[in-house]
Amino acid sequence: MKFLVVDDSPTMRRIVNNSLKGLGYTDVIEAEDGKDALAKIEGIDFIITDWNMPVMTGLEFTKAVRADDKYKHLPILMVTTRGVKDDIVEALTARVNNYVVKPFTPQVLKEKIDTIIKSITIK
Amino acid sequence: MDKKDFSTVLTRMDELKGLFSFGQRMMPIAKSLFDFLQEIVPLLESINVSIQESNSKIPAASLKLNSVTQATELATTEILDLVDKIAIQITEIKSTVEDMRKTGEAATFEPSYKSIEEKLDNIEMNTTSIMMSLQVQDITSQQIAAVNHLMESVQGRLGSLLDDFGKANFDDASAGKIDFPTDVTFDANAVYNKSTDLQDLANDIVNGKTEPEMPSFSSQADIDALFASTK
Repeated sequence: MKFLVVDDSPTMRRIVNNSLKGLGYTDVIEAEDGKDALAKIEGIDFIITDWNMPVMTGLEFTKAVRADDKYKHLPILMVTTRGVKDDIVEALTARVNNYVVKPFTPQVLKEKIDTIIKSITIK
Repeated sequence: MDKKDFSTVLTRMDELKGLFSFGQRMMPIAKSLFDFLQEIVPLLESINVSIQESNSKIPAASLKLNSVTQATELATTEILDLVDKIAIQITEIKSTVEDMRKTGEAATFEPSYKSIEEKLDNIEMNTTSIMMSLQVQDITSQQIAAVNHLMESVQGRLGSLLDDFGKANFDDASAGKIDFPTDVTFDANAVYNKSTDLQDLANDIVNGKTEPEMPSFSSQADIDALFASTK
């Protein structure tokens, strides 16, 4: 499974990337904002994106992916500091598959990825 | 000059007298006003200088905050490099232990091998905890970006005030103006909070367990609830 990690913070990209490797997912590429991610989306199986990013936010990126027939079914996990209910609902409305609030633990990341993969497999 | 003209002159003189009389009554007030202006002008000047000084210090403060973000990012990268090295070394030691186990003396040293492996597992868990704690760098950098944004607003307001004062040396103050980064986005409410409250809220919302009247901040479980309800 090929992951795309989208975050403007190099620190966060590395932490998410390392966490994925710890979970056994070694095929990971990184993007620093939504626009960069759209350019790298070909061949991706799973997207993990931050919300607050310059150029194109994670929310705008999610909407762009969902509007594209070719990629609209890609699983998207949002990992962000935004823990306000309205933000979570907005992300849900934009059709992210699940939501993780920073700071997260590897266990939470694993749980959300497993839940999304399971829901895709069932469909 | 006839009688009518004389009467008009008298009327005008009465008006003049009234004017002088009014002027006499106004003199103390005018003097008070003059005294007040004498006091207030230096005060306004002082405020103006103070605003200019404050305004000129904001760019320096902003630069310092940006340097904090850069320094913490650099330090975080160094720590992550070390954590990666430790992880590689742990893997190598585990591999060596496994090789030793395959030798004929494995049974004799098995308790030692197990002890080594347990300690290595603990070190591995601790390094993972260190790595996850470094998320604080991203969160604090967003907080710093929020403060910088606030300072940018304050500088704009102070600039408007200086403009209103119309002082020529406003240019001196604006000369210290720096360009705040425009490509920085942030969550002004970002907090480094290890409690699971926010994640529980997310979980509940995802799983549809959240009631409409629920407070904005709760837990990851709330987020999960909302997401589950939409599937």
